[in-house]
Amino acid sequence: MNELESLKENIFIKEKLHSTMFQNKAMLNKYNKIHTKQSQVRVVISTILSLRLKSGESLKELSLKNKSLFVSFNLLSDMTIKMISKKLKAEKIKFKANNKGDIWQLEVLL
Amino acid sequence: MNRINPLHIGILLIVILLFSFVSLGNTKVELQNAKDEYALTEKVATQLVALKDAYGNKKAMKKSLKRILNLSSLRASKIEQKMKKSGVVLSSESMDKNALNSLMGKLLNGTYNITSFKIKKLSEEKVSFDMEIKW
Repeated sequence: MNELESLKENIFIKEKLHSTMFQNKAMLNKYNKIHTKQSQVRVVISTILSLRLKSGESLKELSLKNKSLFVSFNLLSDMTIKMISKKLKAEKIKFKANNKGDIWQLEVLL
Repeated sequence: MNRINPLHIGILLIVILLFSFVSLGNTKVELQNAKDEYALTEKVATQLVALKDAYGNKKAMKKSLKRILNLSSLRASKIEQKMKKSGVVLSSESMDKNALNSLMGKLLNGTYNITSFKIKKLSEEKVSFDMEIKW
């Protein structure tokens, strides 16, 4: 048991960990949250950028703020809207959508 | 003459044996707890070091960003960098969409903690770009 205690202390020294496991677990939790959010951001952006839009349709704006990713499309046909909704659902991406004239706005909740 | 009752010796031996069993059981539990604690420390340390290196290494992030922004394909975009204590803000009022593709590809393939960004289409070839990266 003393040997295990000594090995544990070596890990703390070698990896320059905080003095208590409580602090280290809190740090790990913080970095895990960052990693999860960043991975989600990348998955959503990759899905959005892989969409095939028809001629005349376009991606107008893409932004990330707080816990949401906003995407604005211009002049989408009903068929394209259905295709995008289907693709996002297939990727299990939660989203809200609304129409503002020619602009179809998408809010993806991260 | 006082003689030791063999029954008492027997009872004493049984008590010693029981005590040894309980003591051995407790030691086994303590050893298992120590092993579990060591395994947990090792796991937390490995994950924490990897994630800290990916998202919290300010020096490495600054260096790799500098390398990306110095690429010949991006130099013409005049991307402004505003350094803050907690991170950096990158912005370009107007950049070529190919340059944006190159920049986004590099940033999204790296482990940058992108906290906010805005990309707006200005024309068929031009976009505006703002991004905040924290470390």
